[in-house]
Amino acid sequence: MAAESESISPILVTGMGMLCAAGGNVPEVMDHLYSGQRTPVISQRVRSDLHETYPMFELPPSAVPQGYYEGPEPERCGLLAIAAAKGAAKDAGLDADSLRHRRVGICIGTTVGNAMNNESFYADFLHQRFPPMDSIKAFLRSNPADMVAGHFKLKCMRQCVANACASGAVAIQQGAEWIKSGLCDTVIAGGSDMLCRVIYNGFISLKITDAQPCRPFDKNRQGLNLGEGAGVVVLESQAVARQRKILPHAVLSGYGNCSDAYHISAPKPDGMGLEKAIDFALQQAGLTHQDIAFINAHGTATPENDKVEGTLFSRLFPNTPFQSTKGYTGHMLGAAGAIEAIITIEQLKQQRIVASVGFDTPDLDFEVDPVTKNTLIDGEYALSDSVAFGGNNAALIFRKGSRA
Amino acid sequence: MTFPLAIQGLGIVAGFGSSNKDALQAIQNNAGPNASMQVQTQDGPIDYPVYAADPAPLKEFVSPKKLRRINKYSRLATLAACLALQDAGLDIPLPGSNIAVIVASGYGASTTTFKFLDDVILEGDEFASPTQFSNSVHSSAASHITILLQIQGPCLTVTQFEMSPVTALLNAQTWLKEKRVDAVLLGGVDEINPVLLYCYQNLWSGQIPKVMEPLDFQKQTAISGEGAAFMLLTRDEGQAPQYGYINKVSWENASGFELPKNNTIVMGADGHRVCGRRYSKMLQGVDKHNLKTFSTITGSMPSGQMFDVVLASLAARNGLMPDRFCSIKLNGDQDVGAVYVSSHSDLPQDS
Repeated sequence: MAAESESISPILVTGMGMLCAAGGNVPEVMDHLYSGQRTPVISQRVRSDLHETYPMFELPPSAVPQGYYEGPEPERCGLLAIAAAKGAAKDAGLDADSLRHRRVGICIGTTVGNAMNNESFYADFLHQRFPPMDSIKAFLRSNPADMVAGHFKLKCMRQCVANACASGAVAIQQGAEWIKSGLCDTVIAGGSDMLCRVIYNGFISLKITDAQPCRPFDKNRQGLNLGEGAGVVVLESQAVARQRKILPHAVLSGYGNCSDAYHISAPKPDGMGLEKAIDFALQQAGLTHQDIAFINAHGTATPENDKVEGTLFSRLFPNTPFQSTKGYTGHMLGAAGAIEAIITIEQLKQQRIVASVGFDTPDLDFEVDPVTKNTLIDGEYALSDSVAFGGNNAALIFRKGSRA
Repeated sequence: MTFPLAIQGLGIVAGFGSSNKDALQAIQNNAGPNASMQVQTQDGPIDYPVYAADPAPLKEFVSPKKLRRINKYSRLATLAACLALQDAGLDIPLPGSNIAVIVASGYGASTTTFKFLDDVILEGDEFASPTQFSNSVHSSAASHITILLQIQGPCLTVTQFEMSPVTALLNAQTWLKEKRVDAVLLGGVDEINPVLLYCYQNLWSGQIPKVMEPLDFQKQTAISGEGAAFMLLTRDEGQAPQYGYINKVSWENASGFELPKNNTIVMGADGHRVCGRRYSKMLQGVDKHNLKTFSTITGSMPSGQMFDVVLASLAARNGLMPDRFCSIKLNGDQDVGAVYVSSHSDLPQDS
């Protein structure tokens, strides 16, 4: 088995925090996933005037951050990011004071959290009811990276990544880049996204939303279910982690980000961009396809996405177990890549991967099927990939760390 | 981070036009706003001056058929990207190239988001447009660049208000430093719409300015601008690039930041009084003859620092200002984005 190549100095994941429909923290989410349960709902908060309703994966009440529904809507993504970042920092043994004494960077991906899409404000504007600036002021202070920095009272480099549904994965990549290049010692990186009517109506308009609980990689899949949440990791260099005597959950061994150069909302059928991103990550990690113990696929359950991934896995990873966890969480857009990275790391730690819920009938368009039972594995490395609007593809490869 | 980025080509589209020649003329003539946009207010309609950019010349690079469903935000970015590649002597499209695309934007594709909402609010949810929706994401500009120019490398969109250009450049430095790519096509883009002007009217009420006066720190004179400014950046390859080098990019805390000596200061002040006060404080004791500002010819926008760097690089190359300068952008009370440019790669290639 290969080790990380010389081209990447080890970037360690020393803290993890997340919340989503499956739970309010990492253990809760993993217990939920291993239990095989899923809880999509017909939302009472995000509704449209369409006859048909589409299930979504909302945060359970126990996971909802304080003030989430009561405060300004534009700040919700930031509140989710703060909740996940608090969990990650605590897990890494870092508090606000210790963070303030480090060269910290904050890199958060989102799709909704940076959009000026406040529907009630715009409706008032459109109908010349001359809305006050409250929503705009809330938007101007809603950048999730800024809100996380504000929570910890950090004056530091911050960045909001807007790479559509690959944002969370790309934010982790760029956070690693900042450490490798010496810009930061510690980076709080991840993704955050919330449910709202714009997203709900938008995905329905694309006709890629399933009115039933989603069925990733199933022959009869009809599309995705939306979800919300945030996932944040603490990244540190090996030297800094050693100095702090903190054991890592995982090593970020390799990562790739490549474009399809094909279509604004559909993946390239041959998966070229995703293949390049995976190859880049493998090369950076000094690995071959055979070294990957399992894959956490993007697996949105849209006909096109799953066909691209299924076809690519058939060719590149014919014997590698894979899963989609979106059947438990929904598609959390800019948060998905980060939350799935954490789920991937947890499964590596436990050497047991979660059944891909919603799969029943194999799709004969490709030659591989996701795992349908919780499955023991024996391996050091796992791949998590993301496929986004505009043909943006991201791959993350993690090696199991020494933290139990 | 200190790592020289060779500036191989520039492309800009703004209110003054869409060529380096247009830009040089605008610098020499101190061009002002070129259009107006009407906004409804409680006191009736108001015409706001704006710096409106026209992406029509994109047709010279990309077939109009391919542009049919592409919004202005993405067209502006793609045009500036094409101009930068052309300026660098590269043919378009670029299949098989090892180029990354990085786009910085403050407002993103908000105009398209509002068009999506127009349909939903005026007609009902069933009239939500999939085309508007898929083009409303911030990353649509970067994605269209990769699609239209056939660039298959890494792609990144960052949005961090005024600090967007600095974070974009820092990411470019990391990718070029570790040889992840051979070149980075990097730019800033922002777009005007009536909602933005309605916000201007409500957030900064008072007399509507006719011209921008960014050096008068006591006055609110910001006029909204739009456009895109791009650069093609490579590592220092030993051959002097036509526009010199970005030697250093830094995100600093304002409290500890000192302006560099022996540099012309390209100031990011753009007519917002609250920011002007901060610039004024920072620039105390600095010879005003050593200051430049370009916001008067582009207008105010969050990605303005990218326009500053592109225009200053162009001006320096053409002898309109010294060839060693530092572009400064302030964000709130605490952040400073600094970009150090000179005709020489005079700093070590490490951090």
